[in-house]
Amino acid sequence: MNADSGQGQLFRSYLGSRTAVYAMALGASAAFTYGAWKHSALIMLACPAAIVLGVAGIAWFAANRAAALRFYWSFASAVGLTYANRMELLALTPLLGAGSRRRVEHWMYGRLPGELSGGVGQFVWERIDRDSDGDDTVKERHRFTICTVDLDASLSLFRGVYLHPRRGLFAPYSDWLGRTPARSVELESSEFTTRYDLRVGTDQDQILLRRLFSPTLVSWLAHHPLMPGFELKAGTLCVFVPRPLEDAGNLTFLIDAAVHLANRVLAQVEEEKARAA
Amino acid sequence: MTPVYIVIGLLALAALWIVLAYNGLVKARNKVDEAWSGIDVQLKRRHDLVPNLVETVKGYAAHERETLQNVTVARLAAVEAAEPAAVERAEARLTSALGGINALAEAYPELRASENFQRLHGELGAIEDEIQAARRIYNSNVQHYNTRTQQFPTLVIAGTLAFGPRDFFEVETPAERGVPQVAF
Repeated sequence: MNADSGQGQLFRSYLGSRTAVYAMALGASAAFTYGAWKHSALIMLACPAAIVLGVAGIAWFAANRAAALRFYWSFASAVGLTYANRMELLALTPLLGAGSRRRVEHWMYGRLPGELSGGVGQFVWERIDRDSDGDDTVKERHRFTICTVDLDASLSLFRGVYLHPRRGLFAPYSDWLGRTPARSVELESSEFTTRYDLRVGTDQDQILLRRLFSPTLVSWLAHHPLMPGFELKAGTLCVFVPRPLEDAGNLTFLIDAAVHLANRVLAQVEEEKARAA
Repeated sequence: MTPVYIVIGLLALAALWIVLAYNGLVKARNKVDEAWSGIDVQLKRRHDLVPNLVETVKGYAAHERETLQNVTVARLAAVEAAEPAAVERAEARLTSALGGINALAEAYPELRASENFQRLHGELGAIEDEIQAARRIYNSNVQHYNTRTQQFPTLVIAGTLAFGPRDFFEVETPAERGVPQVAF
């Protein structure tokens, strides 16, 4: 099941609805009459066709939105989360503060597996340029799928860990970490280094970081099919993939990945507490 | 003059390639060494845990001296091993000896029920998982490095500048290597 499931059926029902039929019949008739009045065969043929296509386009768009809404709402219910169509999140990690305008769509929040508090949904960030007349132009718009987990216990130990999938030469999105003070760290695994770019805040304890990235975690990340990135800062874990995931299987997979990472962080926090005691 | 410029250009490109290939090999070799030290860290954690485990078992099965001595001797050998091949052998022996402790736990329900033993056993299991993962990382790095040293044209640089092949960290214990035998 995915966000397009049932879209065709909805489209047909919208197109066959009384409103759509009346809109098409009245619009086409009016356009035809107008063409006859103007003695233009082109208007008589083209305008009714354009009106029918316009109504079909609106029905398709509405069906698309309704199918997505239905899918995310039922997915949220199935995994015990609360659904919100659109929200704004606090910019607690660099990704959540990326660009100049951002929002989350189809946000599902509440208790994740393992009694962790968080949410999952589609994150959109845009880079907007304003010209001398004060007009805004969207230069970049990107859709990421994110899963956030509240990890207050990690607040004092992990002050900025940013694991991003390598962008390559022709990455479709710019580096949102640009102005965040961070330095690169390379771990021992070649496979991991090929996949990921690990950066940490300048005040992050390096020993603690090495302990967090245990061999099992490095190996797990190096082979994870979704290749999820994550950011850990200000007591928030934000796990992401830089593309929209719009099916139940992959969304569940992302939630599982976030829970796995959150549990690893919490285990490390516990270990550090025990060591301190 | 044009042929001279072409030759100079080609030589510059060749020099650039040599530098890049050499640096790539050095980086790959350093990754192998780094991954080996990752294994070493996990092995040391295991070595540090074993005496506590032995002491705990002694409290419940003091007369199982032979098993405990095997573990102690195997641990000492593992701590002293330095070369990868020797480490492999010593660790395999230690793993095998630790299997004896598991067998004791089966024979002594009080030991198995002991909170301390359960905690140490759990820790040991977690460390062994980390050792497996560290070994996977090491072997993957070795494969990457060996492939680079054997591929043309990098093998010319590797051969000239003594970038020898590295050995994988193999599984040695029969339990891990063996396929279960089914007899009818």
